[in-house]
Amino acid sequence: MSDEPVVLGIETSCDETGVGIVAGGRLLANTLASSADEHARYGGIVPEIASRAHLAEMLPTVKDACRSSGLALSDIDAVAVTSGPGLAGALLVGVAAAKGLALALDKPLYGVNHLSAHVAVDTLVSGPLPPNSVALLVSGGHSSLLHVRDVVDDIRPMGSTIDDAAGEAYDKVARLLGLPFPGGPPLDAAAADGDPAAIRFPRGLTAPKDQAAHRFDFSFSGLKTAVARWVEQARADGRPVPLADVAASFQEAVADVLVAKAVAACREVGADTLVIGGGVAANSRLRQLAEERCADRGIRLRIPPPDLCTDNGAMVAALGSLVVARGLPPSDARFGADPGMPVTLTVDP
Amino acid sequence: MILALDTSGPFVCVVVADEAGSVAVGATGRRPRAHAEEIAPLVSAATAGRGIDRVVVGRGPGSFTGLRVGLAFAQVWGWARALPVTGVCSLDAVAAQDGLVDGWVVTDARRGELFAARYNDGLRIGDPVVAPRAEIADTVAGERVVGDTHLLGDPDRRAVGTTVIDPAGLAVAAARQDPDPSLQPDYLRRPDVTVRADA
Ligand SMILES: [Zn+2]
Repeated sequence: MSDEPVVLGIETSCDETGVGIVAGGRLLANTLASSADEHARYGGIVPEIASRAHLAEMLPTVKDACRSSGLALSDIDAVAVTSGPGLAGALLVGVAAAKGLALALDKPLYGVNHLSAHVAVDTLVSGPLPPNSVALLVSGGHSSLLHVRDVVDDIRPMGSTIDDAAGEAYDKVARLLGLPFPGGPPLDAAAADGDPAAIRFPRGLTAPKDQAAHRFDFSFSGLKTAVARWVEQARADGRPVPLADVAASFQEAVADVLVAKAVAACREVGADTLVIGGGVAANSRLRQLAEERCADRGIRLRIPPPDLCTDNGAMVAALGSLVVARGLPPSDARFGADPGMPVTLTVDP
Repeated sequence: MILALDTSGPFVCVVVADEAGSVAVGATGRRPRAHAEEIAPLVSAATAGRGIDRVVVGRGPGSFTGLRVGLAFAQVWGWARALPVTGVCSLDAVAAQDGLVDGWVVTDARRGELFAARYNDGLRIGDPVVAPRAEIADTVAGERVVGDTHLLGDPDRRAVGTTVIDPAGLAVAAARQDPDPSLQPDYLRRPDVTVRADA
């Protein structure tokens, strides 16, 4: 294996079929097929539809990634695949494909953690991560605050959502405002002309009484309910619903609580770097607020570009590349999908 | 030589056979529904030191999750080795292993339904179907039936347990040229629409 091992990464934990290829810290290919459009009419991810789409797209996506990398199959030194956390049936398609590829090429295979991969992908853009960082992962599937002492072998959970994921709150609020799924982009667009201070929506788990047990945890279900009640009341009163103000005020509540807790987490562990990943990281207000507050407190903020924040194969290849460089042993040939894989486990043993 | 895989039932079945359908080496998995866990070691052991010319994979009908594991694995393995990959109806393997010439193969489709395919002179007539047990029982009445016959509700029929595809049957089915060599899984059902984590 050369100094810059070539790692092909496969991601199928939710509704995106992703294949990425990384050589050392360089991204050579990042190919994606999505079944998001098929889920849109149901207002959420339908696991069986996602699994079927993964199978249909798997080989074409692998082929595309290889072609666009300009490499030959024989140049691949190792294969990495998301083994968890995620939807069991969806994960299994990627795991099976990765096993077929690794066995056919006689190369080592690493079953890796999807959350760690969301953090690792940032190293492709901004270089190695400082040894004491905090990561905030926010999407339709996750809302996690992580203490990242070492992305390869020392990630500790600090907090997570106790009910809905941040992205789910966006989807649900978008639906009650009559906006399409997924809710993030249309809400962000609607909020552009709104007043974020128009309505004071609740900030979940920020009261003094919550600090003992849930200091770094999130709760978005109360916020969603508050928005629903506010909209119902306006309709009952015969007032027009000010879409822009509701969207901006909702978005402000989400961004405020996410950034406040992430900054507090940095202070708690003495981290000087905050990484934000996941689909919600594309939200304009979250980015803006994070930039302001991190600058005020001397925290370096790292947010990968949107196409690397959402689920993709490059993140799996990036983590695989770091794991290979560290010399960790490959996964046992008998590993399977691990829908509840803890973030403390980077590579399936 | 042909590498054939089937993951439509509870166990992975792997066989390497010649073009006449004679088994060189075959194996069946040990743990039910552990397709993803067991497929690579089984294929690795079966293909070690053997030149493979083509790949055949069972496209069901059967377990949705199982089918996807077998199809994803076989497609990528075959592509990476620059080999042709084709699909075979999994019920053809059941017919072959039970020596069925004329009659029906039925297998458990769960939810009170059965998968069924009709055979005449050793060849399948049309595509497999899924239907309620009683309906299939009426259709196959009086004919030879193999597979999960205990689910037909006829006390005279022997209970044989859930059909396990064996290497010999898979080898015969794989060696034959399937009239539909596509790699489309035979789900035979539309996806269940259960939205994840929705309130
Ligand atoms: Zn994700």
